[in-house]
Amino acid sequence: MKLFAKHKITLGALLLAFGLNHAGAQTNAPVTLEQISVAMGRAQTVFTRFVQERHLSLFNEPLQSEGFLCFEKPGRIRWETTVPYKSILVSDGSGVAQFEWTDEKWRKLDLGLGDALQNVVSQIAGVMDGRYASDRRDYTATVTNRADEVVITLVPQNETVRKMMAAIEVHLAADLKQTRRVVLRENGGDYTDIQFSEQFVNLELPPKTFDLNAPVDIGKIRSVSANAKP
Amino acid sequence: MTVRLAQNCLFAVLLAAFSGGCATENHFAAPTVLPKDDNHQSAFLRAEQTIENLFPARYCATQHAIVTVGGRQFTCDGLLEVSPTDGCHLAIVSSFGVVTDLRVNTDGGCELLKVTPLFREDWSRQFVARDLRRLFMAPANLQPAGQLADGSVVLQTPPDASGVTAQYIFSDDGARWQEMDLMQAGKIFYRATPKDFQKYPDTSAEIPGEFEVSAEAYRLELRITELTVAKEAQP
Repeated sequence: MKLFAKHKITLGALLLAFGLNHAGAQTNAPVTLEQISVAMGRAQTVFTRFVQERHLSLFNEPLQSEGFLCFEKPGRIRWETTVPYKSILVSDGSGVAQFEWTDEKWRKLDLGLGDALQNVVSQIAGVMDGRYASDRRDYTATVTNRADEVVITLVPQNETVRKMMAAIEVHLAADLKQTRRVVLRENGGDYTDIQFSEQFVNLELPPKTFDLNAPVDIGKIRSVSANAKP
Repeated sequence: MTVRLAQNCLFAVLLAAFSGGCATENHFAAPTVLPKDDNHQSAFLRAEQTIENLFPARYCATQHAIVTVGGRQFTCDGLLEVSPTDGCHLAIVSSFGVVTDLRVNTDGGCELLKVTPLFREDWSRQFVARDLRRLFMAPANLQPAGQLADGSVVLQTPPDASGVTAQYIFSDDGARWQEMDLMQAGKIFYRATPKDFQKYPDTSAEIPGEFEVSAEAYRLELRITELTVAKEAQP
């Protein structure tokens, strides 16, 4: 049951991070949740590359993957892994689908957690609408200003959730124009480090980016971004 | 309230999946094994060597899997470390974090290192540990059993305490592992098919890049996405 609370935290933290890109805050000014709320209202779409490392305390090497995240208001999300395997988790705001690349073609899964995933995605849409920032029941947030970055640390208020997820760190560039990393810290020392690059905000995403039956190839989205300014 | 709704929804889905999965039973026709003769000793010996030396003694592999339970599909990643002293150590990770973490020791014993609410403990012990033993550990006490009509070489283990026999099927020259069945009372309840054999960096043998497993409660499509041979520890 805690699984989805954590998932909500994970994706919610990512989107919170991208919302912050548009806060327009000054470098040394303290970032407030009100600013975050305003910022999230401005991002209509987000497209970014990610590199994810899951560090497990009992293993020497991390589990690595990379790919692309797409978001479009209201509540459309696409998390596409491209390395070391190809997989797409996509929601068009009303439903959710997952595709796996097998035998040289995309295969749509009979997703076991579809309803629950859709519920989570709806909450993420709420994050983008700014409800997350105005509702402080879920997390306590602290902001740390460092020389070259701003770190927002979110600690779940709910004890049950906190047993799984100790804290979420959102690392922003000092000018708040770029999200550098999101670190999800679990109890016991495990953590997931997601680093972002090649971020595009308010990019006009191609049709079928969030299609639940035949999502457009990631190459097409990248070609659109290639002509845009990050 | 919304969080609770999501949690309840997940719980219901998992319950449905697991209860449905447990009700599912796969049975396969047991192949007819012709008695072994003395003309194929070299093929039997080769088959024993093939399975014994299939994987490096010490390596680390990452995996990606699609698991079908009760007609529903889930994906997860695996991180596997294997050593001749510590056995197989596997962590299964979903999009939501670590699902389970266990070790199958060289004597076959299972040790759960991390139990989470995301995965039933008995599934780790019963199914995940079994997959580890059968797919990634060389079986002990393999004996020549005979050949199939197409010449495939068959080795098998003696029945264990539960009466379960593992039957390993190889190409007619013993060089390629083709299938592994678990049988009880003459019925096959678990079939693993290695596929997509390939060489990884620093490996001499061709290693299965994929496994398809059909078992009594689930179907597993497992892909090795990366395999790294570990250097021997310095004394």
